[in-house]
Amino acid sequence: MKRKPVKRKREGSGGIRRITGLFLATAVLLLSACSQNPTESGDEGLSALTIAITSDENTLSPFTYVSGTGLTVNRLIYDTLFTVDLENRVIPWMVEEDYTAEDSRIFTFTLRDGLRFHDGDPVTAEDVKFSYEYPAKQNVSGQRKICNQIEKIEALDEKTVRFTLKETNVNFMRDGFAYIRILNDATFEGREDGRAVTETVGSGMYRLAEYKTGEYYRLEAAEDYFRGTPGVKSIYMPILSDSTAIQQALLAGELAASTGSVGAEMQETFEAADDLTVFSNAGYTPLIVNINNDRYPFDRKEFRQALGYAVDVNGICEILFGGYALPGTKGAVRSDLSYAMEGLAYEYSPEKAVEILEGLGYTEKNGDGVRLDEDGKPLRFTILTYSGNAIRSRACELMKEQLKKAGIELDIRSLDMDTADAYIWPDFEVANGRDYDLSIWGWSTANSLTYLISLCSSDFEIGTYNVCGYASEAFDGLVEERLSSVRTEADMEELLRELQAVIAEEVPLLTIAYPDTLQVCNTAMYDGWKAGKGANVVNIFSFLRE
Amino acid sequence: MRKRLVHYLIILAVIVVMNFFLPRMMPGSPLKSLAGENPGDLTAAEKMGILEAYHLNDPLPVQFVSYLKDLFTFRWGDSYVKRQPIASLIASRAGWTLLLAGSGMVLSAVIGTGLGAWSAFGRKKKRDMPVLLTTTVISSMPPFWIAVLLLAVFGVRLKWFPIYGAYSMWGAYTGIAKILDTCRHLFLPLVTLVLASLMSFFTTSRYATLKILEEDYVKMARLRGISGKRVVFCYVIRNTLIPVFTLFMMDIGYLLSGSVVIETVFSYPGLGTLMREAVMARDYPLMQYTFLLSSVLTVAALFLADVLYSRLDPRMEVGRG
Repeated sequence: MKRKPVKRKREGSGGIRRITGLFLATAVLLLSACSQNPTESGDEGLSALTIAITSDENTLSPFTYVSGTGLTVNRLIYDTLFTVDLENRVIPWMVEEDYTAEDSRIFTFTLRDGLRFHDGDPVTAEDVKFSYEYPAKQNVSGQRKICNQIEKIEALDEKTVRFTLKETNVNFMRDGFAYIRILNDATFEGREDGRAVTETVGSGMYRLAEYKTGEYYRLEAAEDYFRGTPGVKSIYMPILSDSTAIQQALLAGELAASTGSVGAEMQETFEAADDLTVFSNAGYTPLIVNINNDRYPFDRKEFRQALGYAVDVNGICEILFGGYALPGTKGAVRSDLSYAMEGLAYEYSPEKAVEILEGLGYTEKNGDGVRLDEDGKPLRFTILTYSGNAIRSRACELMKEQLKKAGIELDIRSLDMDTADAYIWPDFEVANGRDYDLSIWGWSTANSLTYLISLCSSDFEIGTYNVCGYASEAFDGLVEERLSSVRTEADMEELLRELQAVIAEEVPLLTIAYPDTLQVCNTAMYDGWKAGKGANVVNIFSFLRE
Repeated sequence: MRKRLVHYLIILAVIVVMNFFLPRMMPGSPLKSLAGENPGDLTAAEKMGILEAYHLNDPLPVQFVSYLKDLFTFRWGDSYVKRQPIASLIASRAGWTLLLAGSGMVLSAVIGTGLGAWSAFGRKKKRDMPVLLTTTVISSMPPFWIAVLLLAVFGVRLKWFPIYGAYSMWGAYTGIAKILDTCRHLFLPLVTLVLASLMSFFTTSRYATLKILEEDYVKMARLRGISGKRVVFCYVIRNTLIPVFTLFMMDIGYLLSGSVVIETVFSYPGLGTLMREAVMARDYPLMQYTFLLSSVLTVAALFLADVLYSRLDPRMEVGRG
């Protein structure tokens, strides 16, 4: 009698187990059956690609995107009069090649045939005029500054437009005409705040078909695009901010590419994976060590020069990036650019650093290896870096070891981006001063005269990126004397070389490297990827059929 | 009861005040979100103009009064960075977080408590040590690492589950297929969340059970010949549930914010990622209202716990006898 319930219990238990097993097996089968990859679903050629976008960039209009990632994707939707090609040259895009540029101040362009906005409206000279006038009234940083350099814009006829700048600007082709997006005036007319406009109507090769906040974008090819229908019909862009998720999704074949880059340490993993190719593009974003030129002892040129010798720039570049970076130079420009001055490579010489420091009277007395200044204070400084950025943290650690050999102690302080920015660039206004010793930093598109001047001029009206507080009579004098007389590329390059010489001598900052941008693409899903100098693989050339 | 209500109202008032001042005390400026990609390109006057347009240059007391007014009139305004109404942003994300964190909390409470009690009942038996060890090892792993491990095995290698998102963004699923698709996306983040939060329920339940097993009334019940099953469920488990219940209610407060890392790794579109983005961009209004929601939820859960205690355990009733 007693066995019966036990037996029932066992039977019951076995039954539950079987039912549970069956349920789990069914669930796994059903769940797995739900798998869907739009890339595979195309019936004719390539119907769709899934490319991760690394941040939510709002409606991707020229007034709502929030970072460089948004600018990259926005370029697929909005065209520009000129564009930067894969060789980093500025080429005509929406305009005919027979344009005129008198004195780098008066530019006359004729629009090409077949230009249309995504709502079907033709692109006219009036639209172009509006596209440069409207941003000048908007509170959107970069565009406002550019458009305010224009004195007047005239729509000479339906397709011809003339720009007159307030002053000669050799860089305006790159900084202005290849940057400002062409807008449909019908979309923005009468709307005071461009950021409040939610319609995304461009004339680029893709139109924004769908946007779900924080989740995804869907781009559809503009079939009547003036340079031909793009090679991929639909681009699905999930918003994935976590690099681990992106890497795993690339390996799993759920993504064809990403707007983000990968670290050099991941390169082997991706190259070993089937179907994935790592594209290496020359990077124009330098890894910099900012030196607070305002603060003692960094205000002494000789001390900064000693830092230049004490830090093994080339060694750090090699350790951090392997062969995937160009070492920085004392002139603060890429050494492979036509205007780069030769002979400005950093020289690692702890002996010279020690010699300079001894000459300045900084000697080591306490037996702890740290030098003391005239007042007996140890040469102990703090370097700020962004938390979560392993490359920058490693750079700090390497510098710490190297500076120790010269008798300088470095404390590393990792802060979140906004907190670090608040010390280095309070309120993004260099005139507000700065509160740091050293910091690891980077600037985007660091490859023009404008960049060098904004980085080093002590006139904060133009030296808007001078977060080092560098003030040099030699540098400022050259800018004041020569800038207004720059008329040609040759003039500009000559001035650039002279400015580099000053920077190399006075060491306002250390440029560690120009890391290559490594991007992973699935070449089995799509083989049209085009990498270029300073270009993201998610660029217009990757999707052009021609 | 009235006293407790007043107590919670005071806490809420403090939260409302802190909620305004804390974001503004953080270093950094929302200017980057407001001015676009290169705020350095604006002149000082232009930057000032932007801050003025958003009343960020007003004296703090003026801003505070305006915040209170907006809060109580439910005019929460737009996010600086998303440029969309905050209420709709929160509403669109809250469902996913409730699904992930809610089911994670219930599962970790049930599994953790069950395992803890089971381990306690089997103390000094063979099964105790492996359970204890396994739970400790799993819980000592950072959630991020568990997530990456699960992604690598079940997402990349076996391809059983998707790597990102809460559903197939471009799949036109309906009905059962839609539910299954959602479950499939939920599985890995949910497992990560459960594994990461199992330990607190496990230890609480285990040690409460061990303690109760030593109580005289349990020994007496056994001596009185009450069946083992009845002793376990009516004498031990029931009392074990009181600290577990406290823990559960306290965890409700973390419901909205506790899964930030997991939501980020799996690109799950919940409130955790929204909060993270708000903090990174110094998006004051979005920070304020997401934090406030989380805080209010915590206080409400604790209040509810207080009210329910007396039902669960009449000995805890305050204000009587």
